[in-house]
Formats: sequence, C-alpha cells, structure tokens
Amino acid sequence: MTVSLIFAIAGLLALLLLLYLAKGHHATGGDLDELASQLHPIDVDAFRNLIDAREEEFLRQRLPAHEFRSIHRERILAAVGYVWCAAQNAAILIRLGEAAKQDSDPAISAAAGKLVDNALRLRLYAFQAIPRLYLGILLPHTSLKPYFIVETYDTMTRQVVMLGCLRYPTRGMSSAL
Amino acid sequence: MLTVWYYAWIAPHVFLGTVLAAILRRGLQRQFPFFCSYVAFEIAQFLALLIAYLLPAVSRQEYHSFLFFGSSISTLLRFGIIYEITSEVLRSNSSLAAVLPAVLRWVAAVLLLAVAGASATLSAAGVDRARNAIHVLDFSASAVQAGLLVALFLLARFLHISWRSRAVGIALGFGIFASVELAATALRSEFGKTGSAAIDLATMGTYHVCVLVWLVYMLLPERSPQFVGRGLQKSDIEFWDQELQRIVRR
Repeated sequence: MTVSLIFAIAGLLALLLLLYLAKGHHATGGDLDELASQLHPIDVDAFRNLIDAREEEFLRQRLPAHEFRSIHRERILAAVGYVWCAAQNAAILIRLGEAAKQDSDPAISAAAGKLVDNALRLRLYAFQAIPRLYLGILLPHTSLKPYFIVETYDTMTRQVVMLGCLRYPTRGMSSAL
Repeated sequence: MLTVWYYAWIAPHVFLGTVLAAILRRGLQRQFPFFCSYVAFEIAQFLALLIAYLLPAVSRQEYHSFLFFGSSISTLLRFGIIYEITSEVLRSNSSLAAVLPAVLRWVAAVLLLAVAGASATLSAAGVDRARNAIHVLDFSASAVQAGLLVALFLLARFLHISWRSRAVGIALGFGIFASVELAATALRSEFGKTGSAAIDLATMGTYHVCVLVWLVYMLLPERSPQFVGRGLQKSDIEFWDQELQRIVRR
C-alpha cells in the first residue's frame, strides 16, 4: 500500500514539475536591456581575500579559537554571497550571449558562443562551490576553497570585453586582454 | 463507454500517423532517428494488435504476449529518445559534455535501485502473469524515464540552457506520459482488476494528449528565443572592461 502510494504521488509530482519547468523554458528570451542592467559588479580582490588560505591561517594564529570560528563563518558566508552573485551574472550573460549568437557577423556569433560556454561552466562551478563553502563552516580545517571560480570569472570577463570590442570596434581593445 | 475506449485506443495512432508524416516532410528523421523509429513502430504495433484483437483465432494469452513484446521494444526506443534529446542539448552546449551524462547516469542508477526494490511489491492482485510482467516493465521503465526527464529539465532550468523547441516538445510529451504511467502502474497494483478499466482509460487519454503535444511541436516551425533590446551597451562593456582591469592589475 505505502510503496504504491509513494510512487503514485511521485508520478503526479513529476508531472506537475515537468509542466512547470516546460512553461518556464518557453519564457526564455526577454528584454536584453533590462537583463544587462541587472548585472552586478563583483569585487574580485575582496573575494580572493576571503578564500585565501594564507589569510585564513593568519587569522587562525592571531585570534582566539571561538573568535576565529565566528569570523571564519562570516567570511565564508560573504564568499557564498560573491559566488552567488557571480552565478547570477553568468546566468544573465548566458542569455545575452544566446542573443548575440544570433548575430549575422560570424566573429560576434563565435565570441558569444565562447562566452555562453564559459558562463555555463561558471554556473556549474558555482553549484559545486556553494555546498563546499558551507561544508567549510562545519569543517574549518579542510581546504575546500573555490579558487576555480575566480579563474573562470576572469575568463568570462575577458570574453564579455572581447564580445564588446567586436560589437563596438571604435572604442578600442582593452589593454587587459 | 466502449466507444470512448475505442476512441482512446485508435485516435492517438491516427494522430501519430500525422506526426510521422510531419517528421518525414520536414526531414526531421535525420535529427531525431529514434523518435521517428518510435512513432513508426507504435503505428505498426497498433495495427498488429488491432488485427490480433479482432481475429478470433488469436487467444488472450497470445495477445498479451504480443503486447509484452511490443512494449519491450517501445521501452528500448524511449530510452533511445532520451539519449537523442540529451545529445541535442549537448550539441548546443559543449561545456556540459562532462557533467550532463554523469548527472543522468547517477539519476538512472539511483532510480534503478529504487525501482528494483519496489517492483517486487507491485504484483497486481487477480492479474495473470503476462499482464503482471507488462505492468512491472511499464512501472520500471516509466519511473526511470520520468526521473531522467525531470533531471534534464531541472538542469536546463538551473543552468539557463537553451535547447531547440522540438526537442523540448518531444521531451515534454514523454515526460508527461512517463509520469502518468508511473502513477497509473503504482495505482493498478493497488486496486487490481477493480480500478483497472478507469486507470487504463486515464493512461490512454494521457497518451492521446502526448501525441497531440508532439503533433503541435512537429507542425510548428522551430522557434528560437525572442529577444528585444540591444543587450550589452557600450557602457556595460566599459564596466566589464574596468572589472577586467581590476582583476589583472593584481
């Protein structure tokens, strides 16, 4: 009785979830200007500092254990905020990139394709990084720092600038590229 | 009541004929070979079963053996279609090549374990062995297929993956059918012969809806997401440029 009912309910829940997700899928697209305005700057230096193992070791040595645990927890929560923000930016860039992929210029389309790939990778990393960071609160001695997020964010930023340079060639190429 | 039952049995296969015609007319058999084979097989299976049903020489036992054989091939083809949809998603999002198959393998493994445990308890009371085998096969396959399709849609939602609208339509149709089939087979084992007619009718009605979903998606032109506005403006690019300058200055 119980097993049958569990599977019957699971089937109906799966049906509702599928309908909801498929409805959401059709809503992709939208206003690109509004999407672009939702991008939030990320202080990459501050994020690097938050996940720096040497910085953590320095604090561990200087602070009493209970105070270190409290500060460590706040630092990790701040890092989660940064990762989440980077993932949100990546989600917006995926949609902006998808739109740019439809451009008639093959160079812009190819640059947008690379941007979408990298932004997807960043979102995947972010979903792996957030549980690891929370685990770092419970196990402060383990090294679970998501350094790969900074590298991927760096690559993604370069690709956005590259795409911008292709779209607006008159403004010149960034010296950082 | 008998008229409704005949309609629910025959009409979806007539519409499947239209789906097959639309696939062949648009040349989609190259893009979705498993789906095309599935549709063609379902029509052929329906015709064979209809003849077997009408011929007095074919016994009930033989009819159910045909049905079991056909269901097994249909189930295999449906797994092929899920593979096809996954490949379609990977084709447009190459960065997922390492992650998506791994996630789906794990989901399938977990579901197989759950289904293997549950199947033993799902033998319907008062139903012969042949029908019971069909129920267990339907239950196991629909649980794994529904789980895989939900996982695929969830991943697409969280990662903001875009996939072609026809692939979405095919996945949606199979997802609806697998979910309802899962609930139906679980309930069938509970109620046995008493609720069997109503559950069969509900499953056939759902299959009809799924065929209509496929028909709509095959007939409509392929849609890509519609965007308005210019997207990244010069000012946005300057913001990202400054961001990059800050990153590399370190």
